[in-house]
Amino acid sequence: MGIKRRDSFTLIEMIIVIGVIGFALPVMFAILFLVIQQQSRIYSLQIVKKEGDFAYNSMKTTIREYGKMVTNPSIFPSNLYPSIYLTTFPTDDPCPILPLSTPAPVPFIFLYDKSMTDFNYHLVAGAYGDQLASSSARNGISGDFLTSSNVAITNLQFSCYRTSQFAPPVVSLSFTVTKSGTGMDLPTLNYASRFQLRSY
Amino acid sequence: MPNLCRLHQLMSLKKLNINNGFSLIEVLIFVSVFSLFFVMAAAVMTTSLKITKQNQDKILATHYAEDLQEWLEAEKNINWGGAVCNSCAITSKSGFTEIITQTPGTNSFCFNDITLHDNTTVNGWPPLGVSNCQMTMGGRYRRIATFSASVVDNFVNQVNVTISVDWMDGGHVKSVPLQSAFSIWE
Repeated sequence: MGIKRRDSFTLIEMIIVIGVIGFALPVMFAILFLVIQQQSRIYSLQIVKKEGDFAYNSMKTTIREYGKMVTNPSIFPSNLYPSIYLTTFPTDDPCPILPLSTPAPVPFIFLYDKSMTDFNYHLVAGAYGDQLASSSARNGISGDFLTSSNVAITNLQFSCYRTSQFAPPVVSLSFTVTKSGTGMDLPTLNYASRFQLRSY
Repeated sequence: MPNLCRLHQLMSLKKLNINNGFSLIEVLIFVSVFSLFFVMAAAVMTTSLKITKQNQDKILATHYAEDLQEWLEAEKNINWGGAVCNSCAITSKSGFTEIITQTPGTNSFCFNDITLHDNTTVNGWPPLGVSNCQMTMGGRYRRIATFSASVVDNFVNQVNVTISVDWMDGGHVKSVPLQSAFSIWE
């Protein structure tokens, strides 16, 4: 009898062991879950920042360095090939002189470069929200995406103004990048900038 | 003969005992190794959690700092001004250099306003001073820009700016500094 009792665990020993394991394992898994949740959140934020930075720098650099004049196509988006040329300056100019009138933001921008090649930026509806796209009819480019379907673009706004009649237009752009998908707190970053056209 | 048999019995009993149970020292070693493993695993996980949280804060803070740098660069390009403000009146026409030199000795601005790039306003500078700069931007950040102008013949030829985005992390103030210099090349 004595030997038998020493061989096996008593009920109270088993209860204590199972209790300790039952306490330790959920704590460990809770911490593990928190770590994974945090990792996925930072991964989403990195994607949002990467996509946003790329789209922002690409648009800003291209518009600033190559844009010569901003046009205002009468029909959008059914007319991706604007026929408006600035024939009568400055009445066709969509960039008003401040502070005479306030510029009205629009969710697209059409520009011409020095050799009258058109290019534009606009939104295209994707599977998981709007994506930023760039087109150039003369170069045969239609809807090249600047952002992937991993992120959705909202609040895209362009506007332009001049500080004086012969000053280069100041273009301002702003947009919001949000991680696409469903979830509690999807990371969101706002981008905005103002700059003067340099090829003007 | 009976004695030998008894000895044999005792030995086998002792052997049986050793094989079946654990000694105190074995249990102690096992428990300490086991608990050390669990404690270390938990420590690694919580440290990793803390570091990823810090990285997330840093990514956001860097974005806010770069955002302000872009805004200041646009201000510099579009509305430089150039003159030093000697007790002048700051209006919507005031240039970059006049705004930052309006009060000698006080050259810090609190840029907590997250709608910095309002398309309809041109002069969106906050009031001078950082005494009321709370960590309110995005819930937990504060964004301060400190300027210093180098003046030649009453005109500003270069402005150095230090942008600092601060936030609280476990009782300590963490900060992402960003330094920049603005000048007109003409």
